[in-house]
Parts: sequence; C-alpha cells; structure tokens
Amino acid sequence: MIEKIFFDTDCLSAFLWVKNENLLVKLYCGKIVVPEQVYRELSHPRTPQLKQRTDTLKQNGAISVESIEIGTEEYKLYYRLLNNPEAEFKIIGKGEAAAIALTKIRGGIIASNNLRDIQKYVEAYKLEHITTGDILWEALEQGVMTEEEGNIIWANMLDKRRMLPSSTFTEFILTYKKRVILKKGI
Amino acid sequence: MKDRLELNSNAIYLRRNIFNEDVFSPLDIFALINDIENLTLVFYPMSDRLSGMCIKESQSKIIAINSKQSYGRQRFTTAHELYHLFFEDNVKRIICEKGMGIFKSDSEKEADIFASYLLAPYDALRGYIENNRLGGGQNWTFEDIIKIEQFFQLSHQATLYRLVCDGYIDNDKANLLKDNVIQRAVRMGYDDKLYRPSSEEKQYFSTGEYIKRVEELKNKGSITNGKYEELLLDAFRTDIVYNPGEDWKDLYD
Repeated sequence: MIEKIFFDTDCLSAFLWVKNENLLVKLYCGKIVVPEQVYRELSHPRTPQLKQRTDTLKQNGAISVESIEIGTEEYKLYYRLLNNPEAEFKIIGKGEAAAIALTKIRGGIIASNNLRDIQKYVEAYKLEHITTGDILWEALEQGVMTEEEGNIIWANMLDKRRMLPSSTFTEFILTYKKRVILKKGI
Repeated sequence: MKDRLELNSNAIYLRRNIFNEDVFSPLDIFALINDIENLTLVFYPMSDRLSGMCIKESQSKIIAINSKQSYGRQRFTTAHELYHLFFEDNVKRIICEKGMGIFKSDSEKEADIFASYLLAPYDALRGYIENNRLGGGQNWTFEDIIKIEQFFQLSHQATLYRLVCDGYIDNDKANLLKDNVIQRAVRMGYDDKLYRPSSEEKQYFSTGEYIKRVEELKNKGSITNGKYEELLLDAFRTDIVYNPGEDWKDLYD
C-alpha cells in the first residue's frame, strides 16, 4: 500500500511540462502531497501554465498542497536543512527541504529527480525515495502506458531540461532491471 | 545641486572609464551594463508611478527597472540609477518616481540630467544637430525630434525635456510635439520598439552578476540542482531552467 508521496518541484514539473500529469493521477490519485514551497516554485509568473495545471490537479482532489507550520517538528527540520545543513552536504532548495522534512516527520515517500544531489539527505534521514524514472517504470508495469509512449515522455522531459539518468526510457529500463536483479541477488 | 556641466562631465567619465565608449556614439546601455562588476539588472513590472530603484549593499549593486514602461524610458531609468550608484555617497536603497521636472529632489534632478547626458552627451547632441543641419530648434518639426530620439534611443519625453533644458526649444514648442509619437515614427520607417514596454516574456527578467554567481555555485558543487533552479527562478530566468521552446533555439548567423 503506497503511502503519501511528497513531491519535489523538479519531479512534479517534469510531468507538468510534458502534459502527462494524468499518469500521476492514474497511479497515485489522492496520495500526492505538494509542499507549499514547491507549489510556490510552480507558481512562477513566467510559467503560468505550470500553476494552472497544478491548480487543476488540486481542484480535482488528485493532489493536496500542504504547508509547514512554524514551531512544529517539520518546521524545525525544514529550518535546519535550509540554514544549518551538515558540513559536507550540499545546500538544498526550499522545495527540496520541505519535501524532505514532510516525508521524514509525517512518513511517506519523497519524489525527487535530484538523487545524486540529495542522496546524503535520503540516507541520513532514512527516506524512501522515488524518481521520475521509477514512476514511469510503474506506469509501464501497470499498463498505464507503453514503452514507446514512455520514450516519448522521456525525450520531452529531457527537452525541458529535467534531470533524468539516461538518454532514453528504454535505456533506463535496462539499468532498472539490472538494479533489481542485483538487489535480489539473483 | 550640481550644475549641468559637472553632470555632463560625470556622464562622459562613466562612458569612457566604465563603458570604454566614446563621447559621440549612441549607447547600448543594456549590453554594456553587464560588464560592470557586481551589478545585477532586474526587469519587473512595477506600479505606473515608479520608474525604477537601486540598491547598494557592500560590494553588490542592483538596479531594478519598471518593465511596463517604454524601452526608451527603461534605458533612461537605467542611466538614472547608475548616477545614484556611482556618483552619490551613502546610497543604500533609492526608489525613483516616474515624472521629470521641478518637483523632484536635487538628487533625482541630478540623476535625470546625468541620464540624459550619458545617453546623449552635450557635444554629441550638438554635433548631431549640426551635422544634420537641423537649424534653429523653434523651426523643428515632429520628424526632427523623432530623428534625434531614434539616434540616441531616448524616450520622447526625455528628448523633449533635454531639448528644453539645453535651450533648443521652449516649453510651448515642446507641448506641441507630444502626441501620436508612435504613429509618426513608424510612418518615418522606424521600429516602434523605443516606445513600447518589454514584451510579456521579458517583463520579468534579470541579467548580470547574480546569474554568474549562481552558475559559479553550481559549478563548484556547493548547491543542489534544486537550489540552483530555485535561485534562477527567483531571478525570473525560466529560460535557463526550462527550455522555453522552438522560438528560443540559438541562431548562429
């Protein structure tokens, strides 16, 4: 049973830019949480289309926008991540910090593409983590889209400068399968 | 208050020593300003009564321009703010109103005069008028004024204000030369860019030091990609964060 998924800006924007947020709705309707800080980053005056699509998802109940109240445990962690991160950790953005803090305190999964950047945070706070690639893989597994469609979505996301680990979805599937085999020790 | 001669000298000093430009040529101020160290230029649609503002914090300088005003006026405001930043002491934050004239503080009047001389130095304007045999200002037509402002890329209001201040025309004459500027300019074969505000996609924009610093932080590995994108979005640079589309493809020609 999938719990709440806390989306970072890069992961959600990847689906919004290519107009394939319907995949998220089909897979995780009602479980998607957009931190207020991420919503603000998606409400930029020069990208009104991103805000419009996010608002539609919100109005349809597919996602919820949640804020961090001052004085709560989430806020303490969010504040620390932003202002006083561990010495060897990279400085993270407000959207990333909010997604990490909410995932850690409320429990759930963090959805972020910047795995290399936030790996240390994911490990330090023992977070369950998914990327755009994982989401597309699940969509493929559940028959929500074909591999060919996945490759088109992948190419469109790369065109919007979204950070993805390989040049095609097919290539991602191959590495994904290898990873699963290694994990299972087969 | 400084006299006009001193302000013209200040303008020429900035042209020569900061911009490395001569005294007679029209100035591409938005291109040249990017070479000024520690300066960031921000375009933002402000209230109609404001033209811009500037901030000076230790080593950093920021100029913000009201992008809802005409391109000519934006050029003038940028020159105006440069005066506050380079020739006034103890500047921290100055917000500048749109109007021109006698009701402003000495500092604002000086910045207006400086801006006019930076974009069109005294000798440059005189040289242009002589070379084009425009003769006495009281006989000038609307077309003569448009030729001057198009050459120096000055707004129409700034051009009339300057011509009155330098004694080429009087206020009565200037009042007769205010209407239907765009229509007249385009009929003379000019582009209307000088008289129009920034296009919608450029109303929120920034250039200069801030962008360079953000790139440096990313290249040094000090910030995550999320932070990098957040900082660029704060500076309205969606074009760097997201590929905006076919229209933005590079032209190598």
